Amino acid sequence: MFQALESGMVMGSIYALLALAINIIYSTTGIINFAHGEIVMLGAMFALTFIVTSGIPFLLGLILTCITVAIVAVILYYCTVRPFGDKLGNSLGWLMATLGAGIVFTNIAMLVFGTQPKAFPPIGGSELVKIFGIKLLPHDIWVLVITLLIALFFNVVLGKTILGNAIKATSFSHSVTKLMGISSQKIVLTCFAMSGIIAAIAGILISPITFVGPQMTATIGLKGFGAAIIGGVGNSKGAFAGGLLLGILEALAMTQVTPGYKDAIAFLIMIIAISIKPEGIFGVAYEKKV
Amino acid sequence: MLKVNNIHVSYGKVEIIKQVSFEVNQGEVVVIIGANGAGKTTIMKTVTGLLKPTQGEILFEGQNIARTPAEKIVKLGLAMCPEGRQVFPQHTVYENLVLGGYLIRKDKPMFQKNIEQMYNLFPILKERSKQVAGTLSGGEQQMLAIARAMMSNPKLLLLDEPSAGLAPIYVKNIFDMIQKLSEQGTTILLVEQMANMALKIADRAYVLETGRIALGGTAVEIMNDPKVVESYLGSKKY
Amino acid sequence: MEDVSRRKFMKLSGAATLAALAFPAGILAGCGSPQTQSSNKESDKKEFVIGVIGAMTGASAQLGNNAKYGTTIAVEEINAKGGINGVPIRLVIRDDEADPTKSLSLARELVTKEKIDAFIGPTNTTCAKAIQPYLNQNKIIHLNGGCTGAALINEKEFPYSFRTHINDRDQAIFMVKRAVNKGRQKIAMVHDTSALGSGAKADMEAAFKQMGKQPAVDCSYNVGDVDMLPVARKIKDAQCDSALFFTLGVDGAQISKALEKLDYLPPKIELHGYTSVGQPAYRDLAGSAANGTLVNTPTKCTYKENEPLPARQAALVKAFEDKFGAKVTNEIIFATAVSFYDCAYIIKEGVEKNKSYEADKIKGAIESITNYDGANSNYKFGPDKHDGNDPSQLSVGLVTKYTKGMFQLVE
Repeated sequence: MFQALESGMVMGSIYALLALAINIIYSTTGIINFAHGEIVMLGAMFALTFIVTSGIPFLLGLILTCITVAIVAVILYYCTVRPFGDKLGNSLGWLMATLGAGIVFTNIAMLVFGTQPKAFPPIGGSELVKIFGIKLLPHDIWVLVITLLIALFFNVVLGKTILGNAIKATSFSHSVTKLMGISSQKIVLTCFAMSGIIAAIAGILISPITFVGPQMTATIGLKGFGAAIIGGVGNSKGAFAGGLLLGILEALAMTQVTPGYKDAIAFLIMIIAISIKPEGIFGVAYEKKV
Repeated sequence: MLKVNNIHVSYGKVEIIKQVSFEVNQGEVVVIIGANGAGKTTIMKTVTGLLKPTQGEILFEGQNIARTPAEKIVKLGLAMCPEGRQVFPQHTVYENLVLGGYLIRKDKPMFQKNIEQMYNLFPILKERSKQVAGTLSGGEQQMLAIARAMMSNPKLLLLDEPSAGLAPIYVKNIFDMIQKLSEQGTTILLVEQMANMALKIADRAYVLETGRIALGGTAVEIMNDPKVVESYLGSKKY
Repeated sequence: MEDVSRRKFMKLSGAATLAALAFPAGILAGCGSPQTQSSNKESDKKEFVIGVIGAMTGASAQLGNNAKYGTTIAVEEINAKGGINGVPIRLVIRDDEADPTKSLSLARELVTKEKIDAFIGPTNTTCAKAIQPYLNQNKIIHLNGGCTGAALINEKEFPYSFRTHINDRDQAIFMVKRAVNKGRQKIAMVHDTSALGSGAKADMEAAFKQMGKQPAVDCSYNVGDVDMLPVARKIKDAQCDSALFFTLGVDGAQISKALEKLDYLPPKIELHGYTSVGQPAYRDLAGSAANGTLVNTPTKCTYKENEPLPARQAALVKAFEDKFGAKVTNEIIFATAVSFYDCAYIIKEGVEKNKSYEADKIKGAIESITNYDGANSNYKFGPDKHDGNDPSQLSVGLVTKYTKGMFQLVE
């Protein structure tokens, strides 16, 4: 039971990490980046190349991966979001473009890195440690701690800083934001770069769990969107809570029902959660007054 | 202070503004009146840099800003309160003001002083400072929009139809505020459909008709022009 | 062994499409003389064309390489010794990217443009299902070297289709029988929810029934699941002493790692996997949790502890390495590659026995092969037995003890 809870929390943290990055882009552009799962996969691939294949020390490799993936995310913005202008609500072009970019990323990864999944060493070694009678990898603790830190960071940045205000403003209107003297373009780029950095970190954290391969985030990516929606898109507290909740419920459901139906259960939970509280657990519903 | 020379502006292939010239001098309240669709908002968007003219120049304190990005123009001291108020609906009143003061964010005392000033000018905003702006009434939103624009200490304030969609009681209120701001030394360029109210507080005025300046002069001249009386003041005159 | 990417068919590789286009149809065909039909007289025959289709790009690329490498080496050997019936073999290889639609259109191209005399492939069961009816309608002799779906071989429905590789059902029966005969009391069935997994479940259940025993627990999961703790938990809670892994390499590795967390690995339990567990992915990804896992392997492709590799297989390894590079055994599944190698030789046998290129004659000849000494296994065909392989050819190897793609024999 507790073992299941622990593994549910680890998976949940990973969903939360994806949801956080999805949120940051949503907060500023109002779009969902459907290529995010694949960006995380690229993060894992680059980390594998830098740290495992080239033998670069872990921290330096981590930084290099973050920079590389941030650049990829910015390129993604220029290729799939920028062409559809500032008022993204009026077009669905970005939807197809980001979905397509995801497939392109997967195929590039297949071509460059091959199709066979590869192992990635867990942070803190592969010796199991026993805490309160639960056996876990030090890596699992790292996943929980880092996710919590990133969620806190975003909570502060988005909720309490002027940058956070500017990000939220950009999502309302690029032109009004410009009238405040804020370059909405720079804000959007900052957000894409930040989402890339989190994707890189998520990639490194996921790798030892899912192994590194072009398809590693196929279902995880989808659950990341789910976590973001359950929590209320654009809300970092919600993304964190939504991710953990999804992971834990999934793990508990699996221990009670056949694991083969776990995905169905996970998505059922999502549908129920969304229909009961469409704005998300932490989402703010406001009515517009004239 | 602001001198617009022969600008042309197009949306796609349609030329909305044709050879428009006007100027705003230090300390003045200038109003551009015109019917719906005459191109008033287009002019405002062009001056603030959200649209780029196809021809002509826009001189702000002698510097041509016709090609300058909007966010840089604000830095020069030209702020706009956009049409339809456009307050950030999910931000609190205070956060809206913080964004308005984005450019002076590093100057904490100045920032604090401006906030206090706005709260004095619009006490209702102080009362509602923690409230989400989307829940304010139209008149309150308009005050917030003006206060937000004033946060960056603009030399020239552009107001795009501040009275649109407001209850009459608020309209009066808003024009009083504008006059107050002018008295405190802010130069104001105002675009309005409510010609009579606007002309009362203006020093000079222009009449815009289908993208061209049809008439220009002091507010009194314009107010007494028979054509203007017929088309814009008409029965509304009181 | 195959269908690594069953849920990934939708994601076709754009680049792979380009790669396929880079081999324009018919560029190799037509050497000036009119193409001969298989019914023509022996003396007219200028070349014997064998078509090969496999997934050489995309997620199942490894499977296609088995087919490509195995048939290439076999055809080179045969041609070096004078070809089939004195006619050289021309090999035409196509990449279907594991896409059944693509597989079928390539098969059409091979039959109509390349005028193939025989066909080897494809490498995914779904693709085989797509092209087998077409090949049989056109009376093309079809050798299946790597698709393991039991239903693919059906002497009535597909009279011209034969198989060299051991099929899923035979593996399931082999695993269940072995566990029961070894006296295992509580046996877990571990399989995914895909067609392959549920088919294996039915086969294992049938085998249990035949042995008069019940499985202790049935554990299913989705292909690609990451958190396999519930599966491991189920196995441990039932106190199983044996788990039969009908899993793909990656999924099997996740389950073994989960068992490691629960401290329930060999020797507490015997883990026995079907051939996919022998994929490098399993041992690489499971790491220390792979120690002691057993895997099905053709007896001929094994070696005994402290003894060299069997001479014939070692020579094939060398041939592969010389032709495709020193690391080639990491890119292929050796036993499957030699199963494809055997396919080419079975065709040769079939043609030369009756000295005829006619499909029905070749079919009859292959059906009369009762003991062919292949590189993967010894094959026994018959009019009612187009599956040449059988469980008697299987052994159990240790996943973590391997040399050049061959496993160390356990028993």
